[in-house]
Amino acid sequence: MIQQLINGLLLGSTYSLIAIGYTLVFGVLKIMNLAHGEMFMIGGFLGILMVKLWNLPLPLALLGATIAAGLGGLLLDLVCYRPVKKTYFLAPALSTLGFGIVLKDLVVNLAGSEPQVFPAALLMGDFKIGPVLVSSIQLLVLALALALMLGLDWLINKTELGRSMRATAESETTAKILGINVNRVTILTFVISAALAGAAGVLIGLRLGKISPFIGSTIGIKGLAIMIIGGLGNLRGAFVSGILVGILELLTSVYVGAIYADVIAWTLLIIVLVMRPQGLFGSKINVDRV
Amino acid sequence: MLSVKDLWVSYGAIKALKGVSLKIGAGEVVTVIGSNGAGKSTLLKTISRLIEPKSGTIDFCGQAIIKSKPYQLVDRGLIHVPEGRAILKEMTVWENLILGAHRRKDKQGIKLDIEMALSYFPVLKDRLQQAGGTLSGGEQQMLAIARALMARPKLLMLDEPSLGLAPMFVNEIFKIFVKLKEQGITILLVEQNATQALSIADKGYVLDLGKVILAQDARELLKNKAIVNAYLGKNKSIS
Ligand SMILES: Nc1ncnc2c1ncn2[C@@H]1O[C@H](COP(=O)(O)OP(=O)(O)O)[C@@H](O)[C@H]1O
Ligand SMILES: [Mg+2]
Repeated sequence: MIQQLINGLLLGSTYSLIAIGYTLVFGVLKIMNLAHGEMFMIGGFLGILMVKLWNLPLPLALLGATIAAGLGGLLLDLVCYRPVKKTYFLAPALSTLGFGIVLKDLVVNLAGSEPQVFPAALLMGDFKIGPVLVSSIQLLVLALALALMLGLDWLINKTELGRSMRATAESETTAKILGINVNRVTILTFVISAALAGAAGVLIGLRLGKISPFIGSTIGIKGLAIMIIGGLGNLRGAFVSGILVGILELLTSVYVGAIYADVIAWTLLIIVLVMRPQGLFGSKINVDRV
Repeated sequence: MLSVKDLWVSYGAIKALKGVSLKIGAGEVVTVIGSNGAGKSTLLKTISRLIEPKSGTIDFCGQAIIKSKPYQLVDRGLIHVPEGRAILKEMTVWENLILGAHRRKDKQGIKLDIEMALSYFPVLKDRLQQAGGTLSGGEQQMLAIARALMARPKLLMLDEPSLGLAPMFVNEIFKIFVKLKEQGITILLVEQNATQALSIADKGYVLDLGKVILAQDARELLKNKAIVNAYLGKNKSIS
């Protein structure tokens, strides 16, 4: 049982990283970024390729994948968000959806549809804490995920950039009259969100040992459900919900059956939408307006 | 300091400004009065570059600003306090104030200016860590003005700062405006509470259906019975 809880915590922490990216963009810009799952896939994919093809050490590959995904976020803003009419609420959602599909097809065409596998040499040893078996990789994943989320929390709540982002989230007009460069805030929001997804991609790759080019539409999109479960735009809500879903999935696959694990996030989503549409931890924006 | 010439602004088919011109000299207090829907807020929003005009020119300190970005205007000291006290309700009073100085880098100066803003509005002092939304209407308006001061304004544009405030608060903020004027800050004050606005102003513009129908010395305007009855009667009781 404790073993499952720990495994769930580890899985959940990567879910949290993905969901936080969705909720960050939603909170600040009020749009659903449907290319986010693909940013996550790109991160994982590039992470593995950098280790395999260039023999980069893992920390460098993680950094590289994070930066590459961040640049993807920049491109996403320039191509799919800035030129698109925001007053038509479907427009940015559809353009990001298109961007994601193009990215996925590009990857499949360039690298094939088979999953990329992490070299076995990377997989470090397991060790025991009392009766619980923990792998070094898992600990690494958990530590990195937590560090990234604490870092983001600090950025949002304690820095001038974070204040600008929160101000823009509350009112773009007010942000403008304060002298906040809203375009810059928008770019950085996309970049940070995509970079977190890229890092999550590498971390999930380490955990699974491989990344499929289609992972964006299986695991990546789960982040969307988790964001809504936690409350739209609520960063801490996304964090806790990610871990909650991870643990529930693990418990389900062990005690009910692995095939049911993937429905957990979506079942929970439906229950939350029916019983508590503002999300478990409350929405940061007015849900009626969406 | 500010010179607006032949400004035309539309919202779709609605013509909100139809050739408005206006001049403000350095150190002056100029008030724009007019009934609801006259185009007063549109004028301020266009000057602070929140709205694109159809045509016209706007010069600030001798330079055209019609193509500037809002943050560039903040850099140059043109600060807009919008209608409805647009404070950030979810952020703390302190965060609101510090964001007022968003474009500034002089940490020491910012610290001193927070002290100064709090000395103008002592009610904010005990509430620095409270969310802006928990303040009363009057306190929110004070926060909006205090926040604008954090940007070291040269020209302060205030959109109906007295709207919905108790007379006690109205008197208090008008006293502050007089102090700001004494410090050399130029003020463009949009008001429906016209009698009080004219009493502190040098010059007054009357805006009606998107046009300036009268521009006069404020004291002259106050004496103009027809204008007082047509536009200023509403808030007589307050002054
Ligand atoms: N966002 C908007 N969309 C359409 N019409 C608007 C908008 N804002 C203002 N208007 C119209 O423009 C005119 C001027 O409005 P406004 O500048 O707010 O006047 P005032 O501030 O003097 O009350 C009014 O007829 C108003 O209905
Ligand atoms: Mg108005």
